[in-house]
Amino acid sequence: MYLVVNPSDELPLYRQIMRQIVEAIAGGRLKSGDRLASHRELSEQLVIAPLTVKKAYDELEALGFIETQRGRGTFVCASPPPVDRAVRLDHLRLEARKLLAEAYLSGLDFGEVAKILKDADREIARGPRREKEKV
Amino acid sequence: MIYQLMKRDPEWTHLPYFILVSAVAGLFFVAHPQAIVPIWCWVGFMAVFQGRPHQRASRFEATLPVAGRQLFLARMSFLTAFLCLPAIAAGGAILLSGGSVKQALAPPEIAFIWLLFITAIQSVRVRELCAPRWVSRVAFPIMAGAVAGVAYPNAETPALMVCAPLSVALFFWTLRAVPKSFQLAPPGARSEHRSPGGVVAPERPQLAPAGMATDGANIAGQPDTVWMPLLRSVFSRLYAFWLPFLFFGAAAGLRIGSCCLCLPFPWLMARQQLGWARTLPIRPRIALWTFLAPALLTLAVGYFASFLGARPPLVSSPWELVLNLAATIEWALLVVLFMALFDWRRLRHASLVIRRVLLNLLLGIPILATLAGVFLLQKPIEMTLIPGTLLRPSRALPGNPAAAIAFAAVELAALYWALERVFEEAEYTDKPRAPQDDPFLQA
Amino acid sequence: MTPVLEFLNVSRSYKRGAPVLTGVSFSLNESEIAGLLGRNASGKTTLIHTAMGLLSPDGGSVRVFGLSPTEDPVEVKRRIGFVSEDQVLPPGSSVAELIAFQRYLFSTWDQALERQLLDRFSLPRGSRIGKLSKGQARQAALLCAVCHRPELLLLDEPAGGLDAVARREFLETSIQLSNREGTAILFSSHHMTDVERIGGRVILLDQGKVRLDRDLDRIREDICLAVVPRASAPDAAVIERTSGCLRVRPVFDDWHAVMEGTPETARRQLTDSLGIDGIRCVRVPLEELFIELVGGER
Repeated sequence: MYLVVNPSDELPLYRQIMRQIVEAIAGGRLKSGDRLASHRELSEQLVIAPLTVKKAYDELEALGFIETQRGRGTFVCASPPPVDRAVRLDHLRLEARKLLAEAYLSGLDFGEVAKILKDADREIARGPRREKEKV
Repeated sequence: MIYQLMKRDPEWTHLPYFILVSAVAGLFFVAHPQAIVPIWCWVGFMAVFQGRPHQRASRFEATLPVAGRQLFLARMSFLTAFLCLPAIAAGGAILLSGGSVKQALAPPEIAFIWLLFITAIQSVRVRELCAPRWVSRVAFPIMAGAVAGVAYPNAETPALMVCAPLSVALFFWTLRAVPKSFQLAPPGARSEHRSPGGVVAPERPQLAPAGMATDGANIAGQPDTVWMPLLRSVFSRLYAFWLPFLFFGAAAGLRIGSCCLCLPFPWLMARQQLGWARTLPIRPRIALWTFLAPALLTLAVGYFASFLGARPPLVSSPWELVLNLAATIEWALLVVLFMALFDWRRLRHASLVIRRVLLNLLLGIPILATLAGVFLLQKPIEMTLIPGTLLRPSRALPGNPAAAIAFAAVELAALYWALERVFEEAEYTDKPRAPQDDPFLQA
Repeated sequence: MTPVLEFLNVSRSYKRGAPVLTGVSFSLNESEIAGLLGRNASGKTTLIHTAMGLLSPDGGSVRVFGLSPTEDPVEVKRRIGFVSEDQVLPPGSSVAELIAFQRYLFSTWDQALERQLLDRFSLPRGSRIGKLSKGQARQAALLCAVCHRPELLLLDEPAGGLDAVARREFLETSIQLSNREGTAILFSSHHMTDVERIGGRVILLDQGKVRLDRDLDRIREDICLAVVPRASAPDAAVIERTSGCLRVRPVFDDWHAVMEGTPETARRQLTDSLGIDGIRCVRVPLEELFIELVGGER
């Protein structure tokens, strides 16, 4: 499981880790029952503080995405967490309006926005594109 | 331009003091021709050592838009002034105090020998910023011998007539060879830092199987004791240089003056490393003893050596011997205490200037008193006055050897206790200077 | 649980009337990694030296493992690792001699870690420390500080002047130590990315006082920068009086105000208090925040 962190990003490190793990679960790259790296392993791999990893894992566990089994490790949950669908849909509608407004201001039309969405879908399924690392 | 470059030399501010000291020394030359010899050798060595004859220019100067020849001229002018001006001052003082012309020429002769030495060093490997250091180390004993040979009035060597032309010739030969810009290192050197080739010692095979706890002696490098880093940091080569002076001073009866003169320089060198020693989990007194032990031992041995040879007995009874020895050691401890007070944390709010002045006074007055006693009063003042001051209370005691010795022991213990407390509460607030922080090596 | 390092209202000055530290208070617990930020000469080195026991405070007290570093220096130093940019290791000793000496002094020395680090840093054991390059000498110092498995690691700009690879190795070694031994780390650095990477907490020193002492994540989420055009507010006092404002400074044609809260709440507060529109609030990386909090006027 390849994670990338950018310390200078607007998003805190633990949220970056959370987002990437959630995306991986959503895209099917992490299946239920898969074992995640321990705090120590991940912190040494990414060269970040172990408490940051612990914070990310604790939040994911609170949200119901992963679970820790004593003595055995951290695993992806068998069943995805329950979601308040209505709230989520409202939030997504707001995000969609923001996205379209920005796109129209930049001079794009709806077809181009749809293409952008399709690319994003592919990315989530496949993982972060390798080209990003070259930058 | 040359004058501007000369003024930039780190030793420029010390030049007036050298001239003054030489003039004063010159005044006593007529009365004590023998005493002046070791002092001139010492002055010459200090001038050479402080003047760094192997350096042609500092790294900063090498980056300036100044031709190499001008830099070289400036440096040679400074070194010449550094040696000859004090010598001329001494010669003038000798003439003033009624000496003969031949006697007055002795200091300039010595100065010209040192000048030849310096010019010879500067002529080696002209292309680079500095000549290799080993040249000065090799040439120094030769030159010191030559100086000693000339300084004794009996020797009839026409030093001036030989050295002066040689120096001038060597100087012009070097001047022609000086490049437009100096190199930091010769072509083919491994790195800019002039380390000798092959710094990495070959790895010796481990004697113990991997995984077993091995003691220091089994590791490649084979240190004899694990305390080597501490010993190496406290004992610089400078310490080894000053110990013989301490010994001879003690043997000649100048115990106090020699302590005040010979202990500060090694202390200053060791002090730069004491900051590192303070980060280690060792008791501060270990570092203190590493410094004190050789000095005290040398003093004691020197004191006993002063009894050798055809001299009238210096002490009348064995217990006076013990008291004198105790007084000598007490004085050395007192000198180290004065120097340690400079860094005492309870004095940290006193300004640096005040502390420096205090230290110079505390150390300078005894030195001046010793010199005055030797040259003016014609007798070793220490033998009568200062140990007496330290021991006067014990003289007031009943003439019971045991009581006197006990009193001396109490004094010694109290002084040591004070020194240890001050040393433990020391704070070194100046930045540690690595040898790489040589002003000559800083760009 | 006793904090590993505790500063209680510590003050220190070198000259009368020129305090270097004023009323500094914070505490560091086990396994915490805290980054100490500040401009040059803001008192970072003095703070670390005071924690080490090399300097004693004029006022207040310092506790390391519950002990006083000036009263019990040997016990405290046995459990601390210290690396400083200004450190001068004995130049005449060889690397092997220095390591043997350290191994003798510290009973908790870990030989396996020593071998691993010697290999990783490829330090030549026989060469004198005075002849090593700056990076290698610093790595030797790190080795000596880390191999005895200290409970507290004090790093005073350890990566100053090192290249990116050496800096990353430094961070990796520190993280490893924190993971395995639960070492608390207090490190001061000018490299913001390093602090953002491994620092869980940030302590910002400005002219001897603690300006900010917070979790890095809280700083990133709860502090933002507001840009107010100069024309809208004639002087800084109005902006400073807005609740949640930490500092205002003029930058060319704008006022830059560091505000507590999310960008939306900050914008709302400023708009209410100044009564104007056109205020931009953004979240900024740590380096920008640092400059805004302690930088001068432009």
